[in-house]
Amino acid sequence: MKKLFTRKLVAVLITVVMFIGGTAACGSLAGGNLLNAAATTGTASDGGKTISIATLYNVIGQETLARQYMDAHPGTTITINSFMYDYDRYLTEVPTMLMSGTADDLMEGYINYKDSRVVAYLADFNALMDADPTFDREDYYANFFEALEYKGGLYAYPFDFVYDAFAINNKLVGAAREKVDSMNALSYFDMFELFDIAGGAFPYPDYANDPLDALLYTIDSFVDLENSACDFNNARFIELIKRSKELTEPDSRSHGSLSTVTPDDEKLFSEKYLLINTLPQTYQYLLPIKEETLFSGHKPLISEQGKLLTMAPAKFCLSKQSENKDLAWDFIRFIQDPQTYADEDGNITGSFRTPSINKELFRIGLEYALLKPGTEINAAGNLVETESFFDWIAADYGWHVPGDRRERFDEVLARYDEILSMPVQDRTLVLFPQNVQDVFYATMDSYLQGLITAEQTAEELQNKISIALRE
Amino acid sequence: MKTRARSEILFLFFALPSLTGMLLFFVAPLGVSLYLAVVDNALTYRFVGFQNFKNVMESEVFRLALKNTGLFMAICVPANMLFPLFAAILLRKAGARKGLFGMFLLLPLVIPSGSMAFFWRSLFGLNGAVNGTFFPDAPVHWLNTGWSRVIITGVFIWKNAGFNIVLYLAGLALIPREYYECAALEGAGRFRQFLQITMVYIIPTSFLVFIMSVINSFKAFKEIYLIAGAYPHHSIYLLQHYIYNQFTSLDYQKLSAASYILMAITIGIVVFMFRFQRRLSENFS
Repeated sequence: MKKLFTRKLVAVLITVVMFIGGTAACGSLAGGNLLNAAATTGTASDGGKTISIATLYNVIGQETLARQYMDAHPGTTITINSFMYDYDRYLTEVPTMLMSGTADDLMEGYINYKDSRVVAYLADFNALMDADPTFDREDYYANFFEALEYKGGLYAYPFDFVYDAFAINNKLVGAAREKVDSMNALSYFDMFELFDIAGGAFPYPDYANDPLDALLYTIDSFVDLENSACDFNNARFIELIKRSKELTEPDSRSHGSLSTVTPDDEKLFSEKYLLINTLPQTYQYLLPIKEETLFSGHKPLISEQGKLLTMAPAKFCLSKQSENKDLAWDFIRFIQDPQTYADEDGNITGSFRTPSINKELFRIGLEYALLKPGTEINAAGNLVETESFFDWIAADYGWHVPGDRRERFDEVLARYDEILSMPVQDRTLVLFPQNVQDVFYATMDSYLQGLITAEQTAEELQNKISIALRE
Repeated sequence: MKTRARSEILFLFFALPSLTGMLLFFVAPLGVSLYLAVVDNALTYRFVGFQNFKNVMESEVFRLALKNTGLFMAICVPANMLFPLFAAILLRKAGARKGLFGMFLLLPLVIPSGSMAFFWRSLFGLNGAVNGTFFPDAPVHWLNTGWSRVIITGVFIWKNAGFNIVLYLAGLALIPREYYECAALEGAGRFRQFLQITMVYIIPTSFLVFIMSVINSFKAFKEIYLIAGAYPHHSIYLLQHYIYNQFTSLDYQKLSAASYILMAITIGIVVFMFRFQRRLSENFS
């Protein structure tokens, strides 16, 4: 009897231990205690709807918009879960939270929205757009939606865009311009051709601060994420990295970007330099205006032919598990509604400076940037009005902005319509899985140090990245 | 009767800590892994049967890893048995220098993996000693060509031979010297003595060495990872790389399914070898 009792006791004990062990293991795998930033979603205690937003950078902006939304929609609650600029933590924790069912409803799009493992946990914005009768794609530069799509679904909703721009010296490029296919979207091979035709002797100021970073973007042209395939071992890629290495030799980079270029440098540019790297947020507004500057585009070394290479810095992903997708979607619409940015008198100030993919917001922002005087705090601490951007160009650089300013603005806008109607290539770095980036950096580093040849580099990348993609 | 019951309780009392540890850290995770291997993801936990196993088996990369591991094992296991056996035999005959030679052969066993990886990288890295000495003008990318398999196999044998030498030395010490003396008197040469005495009496040790080598070759990862990274040349991409990379990309389903497949293969080989050894022993007896 006692023996039986002992056996039963042991059996019960083992069962309890296993249960506790299993529960603990399940709990830790499910991520219940992995993170202290628990998401809040669903129904608030007062019966209203609640969503939370995981934010990495734009904490103040999100909080302001959330407050505005809650004021306009009583009974709703939007909480901000800030990652306080900790990019690495965000990249690590948000996908983990997503996969363990503890993610926030909306997440700033610094997660891989073109990775099937992540996408399985994200809602498709195309479905939300289609279900919303008030949403019209015509109101947006829809190419950006298409660029961010993955296997027919849109798992990151873009708000704005930037593209890197080069100014090319029209005078020096001359006849070569006619020999390249598309000046709106110069491919890296067009760029090489320009160099060759122009004698290859022109300095190439500020190609990039870090050639490795710039080259990393190029892999987008050689990696097919949808089909988990890559094609590095070919003459095109080998040529690209050889040329990039030549162009990024320290001697080839003698000047900084436009923000550091003085009027004297600008004069040098007009006489000597083939191209100059520019800041998209400022110089892009000049390019259609400045007569001797031929072309506004993106970094030519990193694009596919005929595509506008851009990234959308602000975008949201929506958790498939969110209980209030309708509220999340309504908040997204709210952010892109021009009326959201109206002041007390109903005037839209256009103080948002990042170009929006919403056409109306883009127009307002551009108008504000080019025509309206800005404000700044002077030495005495007073808020004073400054000159408009057009005036600033004229004052600092002596560039002539001919004709009526409003007419010139319309020309700029028309030029942008043309540029932004081009096919878009998404160059978001986060799309490349970390393992692919690691392999790329390590291999290219060996190449740039001269340890391996371009051919060996291509073969090694093909070998390793094809495995990384197909795992 | 009372005494027996008391001793059983006492036994359980003493066994409980390790039993609990085993349940918590081995049995329970094994159960959780099995659960994760048969659900669709760690969010909805929808039962999908063997779908994850099927996905893993259909993966080209997994099959590459499986093939490489098989090949690695086919080379490393015999080499890791023969070399230590002969080294142990020679050590027994080394006389006064036995301790010195033994120390050299056993040294890799106690070198930390990090130091070991640094040493091999400094030999076969792009700007390593081998290239610097023999190929200064056109360095060979040893770790990213077919040569990597040879290097990694060498490292594995170098690292693990010491332990097997210890096992063989213990096994050889158990063979009575009289057998050899008797055989010598009967006119048996050294080779015949080796074949009919050493080889026969070393079978239990060889079996142990074999099992350990098989398990170690399946588990070979740390050194290869430290030398060649998570994505080495495709010829040395092993099952452990596949499993580790699934872990880093948080793909619990593939990770669990692949681990179970690996475990099943290992158990299969070990069970087969136990049966084979039993039959061999029966034949000899």
